[in-house]
Amino acid sequence: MSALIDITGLSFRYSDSKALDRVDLSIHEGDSLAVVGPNGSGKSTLLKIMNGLIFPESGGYSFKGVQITEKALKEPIFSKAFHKSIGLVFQNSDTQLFCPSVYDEIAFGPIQMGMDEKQIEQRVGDCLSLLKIEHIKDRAPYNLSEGEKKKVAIASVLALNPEVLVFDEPLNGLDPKTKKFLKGLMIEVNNAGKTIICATHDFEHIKGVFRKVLVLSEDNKAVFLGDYDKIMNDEKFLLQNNLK
Amino acid sequence: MHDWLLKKDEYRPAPDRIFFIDKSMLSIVSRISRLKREERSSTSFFYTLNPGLKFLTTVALVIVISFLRDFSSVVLLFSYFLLSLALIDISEIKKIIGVAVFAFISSAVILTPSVLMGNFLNSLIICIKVVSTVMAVNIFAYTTKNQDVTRSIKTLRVPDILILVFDITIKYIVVVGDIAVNMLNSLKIRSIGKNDHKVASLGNIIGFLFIKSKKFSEDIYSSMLCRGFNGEYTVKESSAGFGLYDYIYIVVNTLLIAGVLI
Amino acid sequence: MHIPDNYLSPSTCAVLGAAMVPIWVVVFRKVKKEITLQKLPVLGIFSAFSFLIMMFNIPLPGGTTGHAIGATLIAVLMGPFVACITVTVALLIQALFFGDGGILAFSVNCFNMAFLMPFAGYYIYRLIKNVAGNNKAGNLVALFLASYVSLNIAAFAAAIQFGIQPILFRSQSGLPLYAPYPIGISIPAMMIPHLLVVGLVEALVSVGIYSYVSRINPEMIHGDKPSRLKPAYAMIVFMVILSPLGLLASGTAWGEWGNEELRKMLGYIPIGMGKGFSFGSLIPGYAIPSINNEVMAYAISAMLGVAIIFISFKAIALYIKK
Repeated sequence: MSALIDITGLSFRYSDSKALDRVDLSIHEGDSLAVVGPNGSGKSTLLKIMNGLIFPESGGYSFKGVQITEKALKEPIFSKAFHKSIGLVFQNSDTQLFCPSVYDEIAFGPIQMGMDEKQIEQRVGDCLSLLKIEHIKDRAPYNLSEGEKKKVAIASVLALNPEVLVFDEPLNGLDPKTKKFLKGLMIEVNNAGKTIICATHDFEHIKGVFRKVLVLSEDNKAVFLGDYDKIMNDEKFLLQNNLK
Repeated sequence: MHDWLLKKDEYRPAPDRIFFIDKSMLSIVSRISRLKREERSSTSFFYTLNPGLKFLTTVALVIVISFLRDFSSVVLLFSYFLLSLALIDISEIKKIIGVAVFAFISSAVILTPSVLMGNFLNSLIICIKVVSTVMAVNIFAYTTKNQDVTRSIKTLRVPDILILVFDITIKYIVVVGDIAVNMLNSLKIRSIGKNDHKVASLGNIIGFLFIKSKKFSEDIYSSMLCRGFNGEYTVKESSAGFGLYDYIYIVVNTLLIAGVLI
Repeated sequence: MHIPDNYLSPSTCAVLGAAMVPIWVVVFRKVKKEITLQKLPVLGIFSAFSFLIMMFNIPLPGGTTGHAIGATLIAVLMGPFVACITVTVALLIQALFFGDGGILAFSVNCFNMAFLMPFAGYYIYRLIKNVAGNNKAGNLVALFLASYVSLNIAAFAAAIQFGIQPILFRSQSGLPLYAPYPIGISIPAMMIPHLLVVGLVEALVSVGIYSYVSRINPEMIHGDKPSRLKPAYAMIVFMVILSPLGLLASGTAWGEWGNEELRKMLGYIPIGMGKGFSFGSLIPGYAIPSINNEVMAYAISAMLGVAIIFISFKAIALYIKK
């Protein structure tokens, strides 16, 4: 089976600093992959590239066998289909929520997809109940707590029913109960056949959720790609890479 | 460890006025708390009116009152707004009266020289008109949810895409305003001496907000792109239809406007 | 400078509203072209930014505080078209949610603060920069002067809008119906505090923010692409400065005021502005003295005033081209 996401020799630099250095990665359908590494190791950059928001300086990225380039995404039909298949939950929920109410927020994607009123209502209702946020559906997103904002952001991405769900530091700054709930949700979504990818610098968050791990080093290289179980007991490696 | 860190400072602060920080904070906090107010849905008259209807009526009344010249019609409309005010919740009545009294005092101060020059009646009319308009607009603003306020301007044929801009604006007044308040707080607790560059400090804070805003806008753009935004945005027509209250409201206002105009 | 309702006559608001609508349409189209529609979060966020700038209280000598409007700063940082939209949205939210500035007077407030100020400020900035050269000091000096002058232009426009009210709108007994002070009073009353204090606040805040942003993140400042200042732009600046005067001149020509009273009033106007009024004196010959409807008379004189200014400046532009 060919990989869903295929990244080879990928490098990226911002105007003054390196962010990714020759990273290789392939992800199959149904995988659950955690991208871990210390602050500044290029995790967010990698996620942005995967979502077609920025484009690699060298190396290639293909999604379902199609090269994702700036030119390819200029084509509106392809661009929309691509963004529908891969959803990103941003690290800062405030940048993701721009609609006047939680309901509108979740309905935003389905409306863009041209669903009819009834289907939209159905889908939004399902997302609300999946995230257990029915009671805040009429509130304004900026009035919510951090945990609620995160749930709304996730619901708004789930509503697109993407094949791949990408999370950027989803558990940062949340209380233990919400963390537990979201971990459970990620497992549930993954069991339902979705591919999930998550960036985090906290190794603790991965346990029991993600089976595969990509470790990025402080100098922006991929230093490990493999099973979580293989690496979790390698104390020396974890310390060396600022993960413990 | 450096020597100075191990010793206590003998420090006597120089006097300095820093109340501009509090004042800035107060004005930002009062605005954002107003936008953040919890949107409870009261079931009394004014809260349940169709927002678009309420908006158009308020605008119509503001226009009508600005054309009126005769004292008794102006007083009639003033009493009508006072009556409307009486129908809303007490916590909000208090706030609106506060604003109205302030509007009255400032108009009175501006118009005093004119009164002394013998222009009493017209000055009084202007004062009452100003207060009435302030009440009318605030009754609308206080009894309408934020999202319905932005939505109601759709009745003036404002394009949907601009309404999206308004919604984003409201939200980021709160988000960027919160950051501003935090920064002002940190400026305040670090203002332990005499700051001769107050304007520069504020310039830095606002400059930082500018950069932050620019980054926000790039991220929102990305997140909209990820969620399939294609440049189109449809604002739902306000789901509330017309109920009994709305018809009563239409009849009362039509009679009132017809009454003062004829 | 937020004018509340009922100080200006509805017809004044309507005339300026009629002027703002095409401006908004042109500006919105231009922005749509400049930044693709998908990038419109920029407009929302910077409207919020523009709203917040007005919330900051700047310490003034004597222990009081004042606030800036920031329209020129945003025009320089983001371009005048974006500034026009963002200030408009900020003013709308102030009017609708907080009752700052009237609903009817919204168009007038937009004309002064969302149109005159950012455009005048932007082109003054470019004009001075072209002279002073593109260096750091030149930038700051240009921004300082542009902010100061453009704020005073906006204040001057407001002063004139106030000042023409008693000339044009009086009750049958001859008493003013709206703002009661003629331009002889309204101009000094508005201009003295703006020239001495508010303008300086505006300029200092602009320079403070600009120097921070250019130090930390210079690439964020609106590109210097359209640096060629076409003569047409300079014309627009002048037209924009003079059109309220034109309105006034054409209005007084028709006005109910006796000549003597008018002269007395004009005595207050600084001599340098005499020129602006001189072409007002051309109009009485064309005035239609039998119009009794003040609204119509106002609209007619306003249109005539604007038309004359437009035509004369187009003529000048043609002459310059030759």
